[in-house]
Amino acid sequence: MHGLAYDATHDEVVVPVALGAAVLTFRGGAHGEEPPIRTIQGPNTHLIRPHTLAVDEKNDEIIVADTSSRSILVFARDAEGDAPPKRIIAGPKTGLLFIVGVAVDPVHNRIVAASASSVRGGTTGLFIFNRTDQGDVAPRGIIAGPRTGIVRPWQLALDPAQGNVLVAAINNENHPPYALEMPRKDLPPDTDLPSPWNTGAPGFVGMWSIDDNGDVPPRGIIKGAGSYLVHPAGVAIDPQAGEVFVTDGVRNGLFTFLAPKFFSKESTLSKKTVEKENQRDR
Amino acid sequence: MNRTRRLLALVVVLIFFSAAFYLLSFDDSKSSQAPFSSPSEALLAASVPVQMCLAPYFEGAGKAAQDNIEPLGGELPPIHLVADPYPTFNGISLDPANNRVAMSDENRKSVLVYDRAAGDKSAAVTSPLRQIIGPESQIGYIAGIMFDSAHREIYAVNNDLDDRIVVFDDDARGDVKPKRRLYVPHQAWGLSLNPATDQFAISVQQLSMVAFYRREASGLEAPLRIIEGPDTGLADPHGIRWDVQHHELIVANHGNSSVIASYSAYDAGVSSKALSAGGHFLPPSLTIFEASAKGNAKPVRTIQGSHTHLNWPMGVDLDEQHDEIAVADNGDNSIVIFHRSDSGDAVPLRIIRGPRTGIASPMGVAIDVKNDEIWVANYGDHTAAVYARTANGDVAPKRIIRNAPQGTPTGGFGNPYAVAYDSKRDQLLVPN
Repeated sequence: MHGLAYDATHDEVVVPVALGAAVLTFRGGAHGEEPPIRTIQGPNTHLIRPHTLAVDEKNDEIIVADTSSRSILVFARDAEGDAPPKRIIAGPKTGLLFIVGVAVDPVHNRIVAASASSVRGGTTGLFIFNRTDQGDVAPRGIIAGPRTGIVRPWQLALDPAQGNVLVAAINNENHPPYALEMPRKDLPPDTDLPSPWNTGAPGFVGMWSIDDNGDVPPRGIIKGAGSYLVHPAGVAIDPQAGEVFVTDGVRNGLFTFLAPKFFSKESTLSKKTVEKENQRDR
Repeated sequence: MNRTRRLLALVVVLIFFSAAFYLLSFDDSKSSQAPFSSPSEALLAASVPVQMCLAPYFEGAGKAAQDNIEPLGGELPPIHLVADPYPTFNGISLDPANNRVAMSDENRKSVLVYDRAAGDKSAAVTSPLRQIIGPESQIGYIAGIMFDSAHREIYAVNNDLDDRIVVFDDDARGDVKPKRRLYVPHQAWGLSLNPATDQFAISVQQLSMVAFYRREASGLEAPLRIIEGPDTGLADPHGIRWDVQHHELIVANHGNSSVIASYSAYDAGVSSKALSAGGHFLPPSLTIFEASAKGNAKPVRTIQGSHTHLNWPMGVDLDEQHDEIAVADNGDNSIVIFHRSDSGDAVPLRIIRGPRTGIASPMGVAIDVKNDEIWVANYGDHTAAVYARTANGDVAPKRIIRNAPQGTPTGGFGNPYAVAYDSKRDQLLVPN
């Protein structure tokens, strides 16, 4: 399972089940073999392979990223059974393909998706939409390019108070040898694919403003041998405590970093602006 | 803002019946503790091959750019971590002829080979004969494992992320390259060899599929045939076992079912067939096929229903001499044994379960007919336990192989790719 969300307002845990094409909601204190309190599943849901999701507690919605339907599906928070989504963001104008991360900002009314594409003309990066967008719409911003350092994004976490989004840039190489049941025809028989466990390019956790656009470097970063991160995949935040939580598949572990500036006003300003403000304060 | 937190490993494992995942909850209590106890730090550092740790950092990220942003943060050390420095057993394979047992270890990403008679009732760690580990081995999130005694080889399949089977000489050790490598579909889990046909079969979770290959297949060689489709009853298959004598194939299914469509970053387009199918949760099952089955073949028998006690059936093994099937029943913390020809909502012949057994989230099971024993690889404890073959009920094992000192908790992580913060309980939720 590659995603989950905690809904503090309703004390619920929401999870996607990729292999069952379902979204399950559990009590926040669920324990053991406790059944879900709601299940979204069925042909009307448009769910094929729900990968990850986010909960919009303010607007009572669940936002699901589906890697197979290549879409962002927005359900009512209390949707149940074979319920159709309220809105769908999908289509060539969106630029979305392999959507592996999603986050919602109910304060600034944005949805951010992390999507990867290795098809000709495709883009890998962070795609920023208006929260109520639907259909085949172009994103209002795309954070992508060599300066971002994002080779392969994964989970997102969003701090609405500052309007910042954090991404776990797993950045391992993962060229699938098969197209579903059969070997890919675009690969030679003697192909030597890199092992994603040994790619030599460790990932990082990066932070951008939801107003960033283009090939811009992160405003905050956690990286390097001292961080112990190799290929970070999961990221969550506790802005109150200034903490960033990260999971890493190679380490098979969970890390906590203390980064209070990530959640401060300073995080939204460029270096020049900060310097100007400091001079003015003096 | 300066408070520190202590993450306690293994607080709760929530196992949900209908969803194929573990959700791990870690108490994020407020007590103060120095970052990194040195044993943990040392063990964590040792838990990942050095080449992975020291690989050069991608130079593009975090550099100053046109808007003069000097990124906050940098090479921050973690203030806390939860990681298991010891191996965790997953798949298991016996080689009674040569008195060896091999187990896959998905935590440290290795293969461990022990003497068949190893282990005892002590609290100490059992020394393996050898371990295959390191980036050259291409062992990652490893699941099924298989000895080929006749050709003195050992197979291991990477389940998630790295879609390949690696084959080693059975005396391989350390950071060695596999002698063969076969690419396979994503989420292959179990594998089983048929010496009579010189083929092996694998289960593939997300495609609810079984694929058959030449024994010596390598590279991008395509499967000889596949079993896949709505009539097969396959649903998130895991353990697989060829019954050579009766020309059948046994497959253990978790029950998650959907029609998958292309989803990689390398494929465009959406499948309308998949869109209109919807997902289903089926009861867990054992599906038994004719060994020559292909395509959308119906199973010849299905063991499924509330009397079966099946709950996340993982590894399976067959005792051809006594006509019995053993299943590592992960969700039930048990080993269930059926008669080979059972069908429908069958009551198991025997169930090994209870506090004296020490069985905890079993992943692998292997029957040793020659020595009249049954082996269990526990994912929820750092153990593999050996019982009398006919053990039944709450019985203590004859001996135990330990990969960590007795009482060492397991982190429970299996390739953790997400995390959420529960602000109400100050806990972290990590799914597998």
